[in-house]
Amino acid sequence: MENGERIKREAPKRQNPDRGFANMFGQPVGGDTNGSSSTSDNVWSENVDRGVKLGYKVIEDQILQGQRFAEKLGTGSYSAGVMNGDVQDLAKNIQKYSEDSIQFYSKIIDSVTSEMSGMGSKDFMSGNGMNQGVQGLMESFTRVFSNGSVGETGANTSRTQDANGINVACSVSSTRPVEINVNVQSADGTLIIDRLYEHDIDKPPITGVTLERDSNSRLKLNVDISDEQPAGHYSGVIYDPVDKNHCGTLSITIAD
Amino acid sequence: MYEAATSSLIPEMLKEYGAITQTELAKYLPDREPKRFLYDILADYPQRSGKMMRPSLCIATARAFGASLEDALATAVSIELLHNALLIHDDIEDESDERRGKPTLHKIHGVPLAINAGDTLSLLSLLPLITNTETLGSKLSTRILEETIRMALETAEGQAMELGWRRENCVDLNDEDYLVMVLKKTCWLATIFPLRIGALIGSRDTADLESLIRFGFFLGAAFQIQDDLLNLVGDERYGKELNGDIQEGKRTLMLLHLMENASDEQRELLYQLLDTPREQRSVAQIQWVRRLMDEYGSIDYAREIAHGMAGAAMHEYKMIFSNLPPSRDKDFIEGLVTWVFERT
Repeated sequence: MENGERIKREAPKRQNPDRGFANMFGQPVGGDTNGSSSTSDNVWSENVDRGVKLGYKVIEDQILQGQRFAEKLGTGSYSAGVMNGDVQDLAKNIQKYSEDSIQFYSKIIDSVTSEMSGMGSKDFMSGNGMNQGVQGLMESFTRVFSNGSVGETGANTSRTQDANGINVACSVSSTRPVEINVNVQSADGTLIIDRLYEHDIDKPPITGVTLERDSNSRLKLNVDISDEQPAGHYSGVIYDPVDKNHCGTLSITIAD
Repeated sequence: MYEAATSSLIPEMLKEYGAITQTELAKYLPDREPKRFLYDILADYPQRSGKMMRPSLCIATARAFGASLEDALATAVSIELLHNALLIHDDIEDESDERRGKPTLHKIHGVPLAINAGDTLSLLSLLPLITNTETLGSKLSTRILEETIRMALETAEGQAMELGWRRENCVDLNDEDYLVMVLKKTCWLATIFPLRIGALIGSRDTADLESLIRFGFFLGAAFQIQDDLLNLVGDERYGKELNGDIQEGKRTLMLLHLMENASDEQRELLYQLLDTPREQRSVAQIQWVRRLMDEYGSIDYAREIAHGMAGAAMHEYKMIFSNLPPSRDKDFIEGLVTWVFERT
């Protein structure tokens, strides 16, 4: 520095970034391999790449097998294949109740619409919002039944579709049969459910109900009915907190 | 040699979580008769100083995902109990002479008592899972039980594959066959299961468990290949007899590489050697196989694959854990990837 000579760094040996897996942990030495043939960098890299590709093939195959297996058993955490007979029976019962209820309400709707068609009144079918009323009635018949009479874990998950095309997964925890009626008119954003009230004001409201979105933005309804909750018909409103408008209804009927 | 990339964190945490698990585990070992023929025998392996990687990984993952140590402790104990139970049976099936630097249980007590002790220990491993209901609730405990059943089946399938290959003297195997076997036999119990259960407990069953299969597989595969390498090049701290895998005829990546690359004459001799009963394989024959592995670069080849697996594990780790807040437990899990190559 005193004689004005500039300090220069030596030119780096490596001119490009080294991002290979092969060098991540340094090169092995063959000191304990009794003079094994030294592996060239190219062969080393090829073997590593091949190994990693093969590894991903193996593990992706395994994951795919697991998914197929899960699909075969049905969705939900409680896969029927690994659960005991009681829970499998419960799943069958839920399915049966759901099928029965759909048939039941389909008959009601058929009956209502055929009666109105039979009246032949143009005004009745097209005017005064009655047709919309029938549509709304049909749209609201999205029901999930839960028979929770299976001891301490009466938690079940079902997925249903609102007539508007909105998927709603329902997770119900109850030791008594419960009927749920969901009508959602908004597919976007966060939705909130307030408390569900009974006509009889002496009965406490249901508070254990939440509506959330899963990682795929699908709506999931969680219903937790305590054993102390009196039987009855409870209903409430689904809110959109952003628009501050109500965008659906939820009613729950708890059997004795 | 490799430069040590891992600090003292890994041995420290293995010691810390290992000691906590050991203390809790002792509570599940019955203190009653018949001690000499059962309970003393089944308590032997857990008392020998293992690495305690499995329970430590479970606890660390649970904590990294937000759980308390107490939430994961019973499950960690269950993992360690089952691991030791399977070791007893593995040693019989593999006809191993040493485990953790001492004679194997069946060598000390005979095969019938060792099998019975292994059976009992595997049943005892279910007890901590029942106590989970008190701390984690019935729903999460049932999920853990589901995962346990899956892991046990995967592990049994992997063990069956390897034993079947030896029984039928299968030699037309490739690297993919080996990796599938390792995935099932080793990875599920050693890494995938502790990771998944830890995440399950920490996230209260909201974490994506699928991605943990990938990380667990690559970490476990690197671990197993390195374990197989240590059997050939390890020192006296390794705890199992050197070249024991060749003696057993175990299908390792090195053996498969050798079978593929050896001359026709050598391959035929190898096939005959693997077809003879284990006790009839001489020391000279074992050393001949070992020399061939050096000659054909089979050791280096397996090292390369192990490093590739570790690199992929590091990649998968970042995919899963980068969004979690910094913690000692996260550092521990990441450090395991390099620790695989630093252990003896």
